[in-house]
Amino acid sequence: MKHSSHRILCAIFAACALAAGHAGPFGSAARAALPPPTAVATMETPPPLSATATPSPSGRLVKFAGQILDDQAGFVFFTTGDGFRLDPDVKIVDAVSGGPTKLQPATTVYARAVFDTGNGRVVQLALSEKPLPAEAAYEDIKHFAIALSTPYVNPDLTHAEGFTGQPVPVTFTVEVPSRTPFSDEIYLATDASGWSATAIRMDRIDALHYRVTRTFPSGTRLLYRYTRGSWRSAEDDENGLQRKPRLLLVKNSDVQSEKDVVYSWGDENQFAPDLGGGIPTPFNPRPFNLPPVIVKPH
Amino acid sequence: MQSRFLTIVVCWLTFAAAVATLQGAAVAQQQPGVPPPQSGGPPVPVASPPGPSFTQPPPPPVTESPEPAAPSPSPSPPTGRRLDAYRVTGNRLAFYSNRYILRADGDVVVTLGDGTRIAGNAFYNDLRLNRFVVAGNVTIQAPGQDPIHGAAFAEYLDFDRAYFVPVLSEPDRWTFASGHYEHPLLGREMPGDTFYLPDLSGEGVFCYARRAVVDPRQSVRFDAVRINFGAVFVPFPSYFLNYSPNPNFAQNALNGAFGDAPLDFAGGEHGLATAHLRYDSVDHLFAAYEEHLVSDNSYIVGSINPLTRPLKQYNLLALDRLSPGLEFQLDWQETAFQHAFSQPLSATAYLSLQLTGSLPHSFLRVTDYLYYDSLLAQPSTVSSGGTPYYGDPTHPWIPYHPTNLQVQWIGFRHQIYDLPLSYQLRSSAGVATNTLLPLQTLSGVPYTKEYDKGVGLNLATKSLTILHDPSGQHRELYFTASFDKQRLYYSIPHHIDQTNVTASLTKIFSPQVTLLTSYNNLNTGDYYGAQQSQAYPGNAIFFNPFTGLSYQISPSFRGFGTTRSLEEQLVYVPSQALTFNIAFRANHDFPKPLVGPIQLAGDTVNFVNYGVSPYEADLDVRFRVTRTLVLDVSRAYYFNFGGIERWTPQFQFELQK
Repeated sequence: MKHSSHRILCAIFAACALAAGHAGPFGSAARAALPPPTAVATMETPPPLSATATPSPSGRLVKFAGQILDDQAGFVFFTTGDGFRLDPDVKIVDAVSGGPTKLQPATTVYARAVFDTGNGRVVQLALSEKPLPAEAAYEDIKHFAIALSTPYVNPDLTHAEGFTGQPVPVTFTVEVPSRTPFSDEIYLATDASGWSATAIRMDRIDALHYRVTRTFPSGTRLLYRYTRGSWRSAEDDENGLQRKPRLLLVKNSDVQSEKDVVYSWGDENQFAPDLGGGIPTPFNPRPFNLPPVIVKPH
Repeated sequence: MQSRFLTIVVCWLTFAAAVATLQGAAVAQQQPGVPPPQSGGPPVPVASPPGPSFTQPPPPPVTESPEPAAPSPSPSPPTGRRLDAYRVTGNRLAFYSNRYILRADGDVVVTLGDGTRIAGNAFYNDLRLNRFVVAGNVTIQAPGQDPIHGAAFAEYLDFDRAYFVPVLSEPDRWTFASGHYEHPLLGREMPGDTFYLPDLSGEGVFCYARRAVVDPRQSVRFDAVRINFGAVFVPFPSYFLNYSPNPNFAQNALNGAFGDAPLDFAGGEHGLATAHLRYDSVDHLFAAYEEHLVSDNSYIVGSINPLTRPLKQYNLLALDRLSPGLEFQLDWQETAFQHAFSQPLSATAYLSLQLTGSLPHSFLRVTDYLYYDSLLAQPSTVSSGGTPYYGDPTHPWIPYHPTNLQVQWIGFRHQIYDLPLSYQLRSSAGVATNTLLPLQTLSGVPYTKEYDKGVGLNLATKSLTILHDPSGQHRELYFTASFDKQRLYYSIPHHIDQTNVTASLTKIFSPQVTLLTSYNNLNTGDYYGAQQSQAYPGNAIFFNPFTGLSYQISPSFRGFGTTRSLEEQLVYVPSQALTFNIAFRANHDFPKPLVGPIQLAGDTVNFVNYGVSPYEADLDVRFRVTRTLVLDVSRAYYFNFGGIERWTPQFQFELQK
């Protein structure tokens, strides 16, 4: 009687939930919509060129913030790979206070360089151990860079697909075999997570489908396999052989979707459905799919 | 004979460890001056780089105004020249595991595989991008050539391109193709982020080391290392970091434990030796050892667990793809009671050999299971009960060797015309033997050999949309169903039928909320006809020859059972870092389930229940605390089943690489 009442409650709950669900109490259009596309990195408009900075320039002044690679032979090198000539009277100051600093222009130090547009020299270096906010665009100062050789096009780069590195939400959707134990979890194991068999747990969509969304920079190449929480239970090929990892290449798109099908699991014995594991229940008297063995009468 | 086998296993593991250690040593001791194979023709641009893992250029540093998006360099095809392992030293060498970045500062020297030495002030190596930068007062000293001085040097290992900013009378930009330092390409355009130095402020250091040897896309060996254990940095002679894209390194031959701290101490491109410090409730704190030998298409993984307790388990897993359509797999598990590596007092083993071959629209699998109750020679001492034993009577010697050979044919899944319905067929044949003890005694007849054959059918629907969402927001109602039926015939006159029917309804409320209701009906019937009561007498003991364990079969079980389950599951995923999963399950068992544990005399085992509890509620919350730490809390409630079963708490902390 008690069990029956539980069953009735359970059935009522299910019916109510499904009926209410179609009306969509949680499902406003806004919430159901896909996440808005992530904006592609944009070029910031450089601030107006300042004519008030010191020392007295021969032309206008342009400020550029970056990280120093090196400082030698009268040049300062930024991580753009460019070497800029230092003015003999270059001032070294603190980037925050504008006063004296103990920092020296050296590798890994951040700097805001002030260029004299008249001669292209760096007349001031404001140093910091922390990244500095962007100033003028690289385009505004790159012609000040000193290089002996004439630049020419790199054929390596001409036909390559450029990846911007923009964050791209990637949705993995997988269909699992109908024999998959209903209560089991499905995971993504990836090379980026050291092939942990439980690296990314997926969310159930319905009895046969699971889904998860993760964000990767475009250009990411990811190897992955589906598992049920261990490498014993990793996916196999349809022909029963161990499956090679799947390959994902994240493109320069707002969103990306990967739809996969798992045909079988590595620990799946088609003639021994999971009826309770290794312990004999009333419904699994021979947990290892053996012939009945009763050799020790009570 | 038995001892010899044990010796072989131990020798194999020792040999494997030695090979892995030598591999690591060989990498570390590569001498400079050995020229690499020369490159072939010019690089041919293709769409994407060849290496696995992350190869995208990182975003530009925040302090720089972004320059025009310079395209990533296209990879060159395999040219025959490979930048082998390179060695890095510096005043301070640190590894940032969250970013997979190796950094060195002060008097940095990088020695490439071809003997080229690059010295500088700072070194940044993104292991996943497979490229590094040496910056500040850089000197390149190639074998047999004059040194070149400059400001920065960047090596793109995947593309076999090096970029250099020399400082002559004035700066310049040079590119070295395929390691030809004597012929720089002057002025050639470089990728936009060539000399990008990642910002590591706020990142935790996993370890400091005196030296590091990097095998690109495979591993890093740190020497004289201090590893971060939270509060302190503990010194070790070396640490081996394996980040190979080969998933075979993830195969695991160790048994479960409550806690496990692995330390990879030696390895190479095809090997990895790992020491484990583990904890469980039986052995408490103990050491274990695991060894991997892998290739792209094969692996051998062996382990000894625990290493420091007398009851040891030697595990060996192996797989080899013999051809594109043929695969061999081996599982070996030996349990031995021995102090250190002395003569075992008992040694049992389980072996599974499996050969899988691909066929048109199907595959064939041959599996042989073998169990050895004792690998040892017959002892001379005999107990008062007449059982031979080693050491003391708790280590009886039982000559028992059952086998089970199975041949299975599994068909692919086929759709039925254009219907949303598919089917899959399977069949099997096999023979189980035991020459020393009968497999089964029925009507007074002992059977030492039994043949079986069987067929099975699986029918399944696709996900059918029952109710469409007119708003186009995919808030549909889905239906799925499957039906599975199989029959196994045995030479001992009986057959077993199993039928499993499942149906489910899924309602998607929003991308964050899903409700699933499912019904499952599972029938098992073991039909002996007139001998049913002999096959299933009440209170019988089931003996599993593969584990040597005995279980009491439910007294009311006469070979027929049914389980019907109704489950509701609510999944709520508010963000990528947080997931709630709530499930309620109602089960109806026939015969009625029995609550455990039940303790039997003799060869016994504790177990939880016969059958499943009538009601169960599960709550699971998974929260990603940091990029590498996931907290999973789950609890199950059994509604006071049998007056005993209530809560089953589970808390899991998972640290991911």
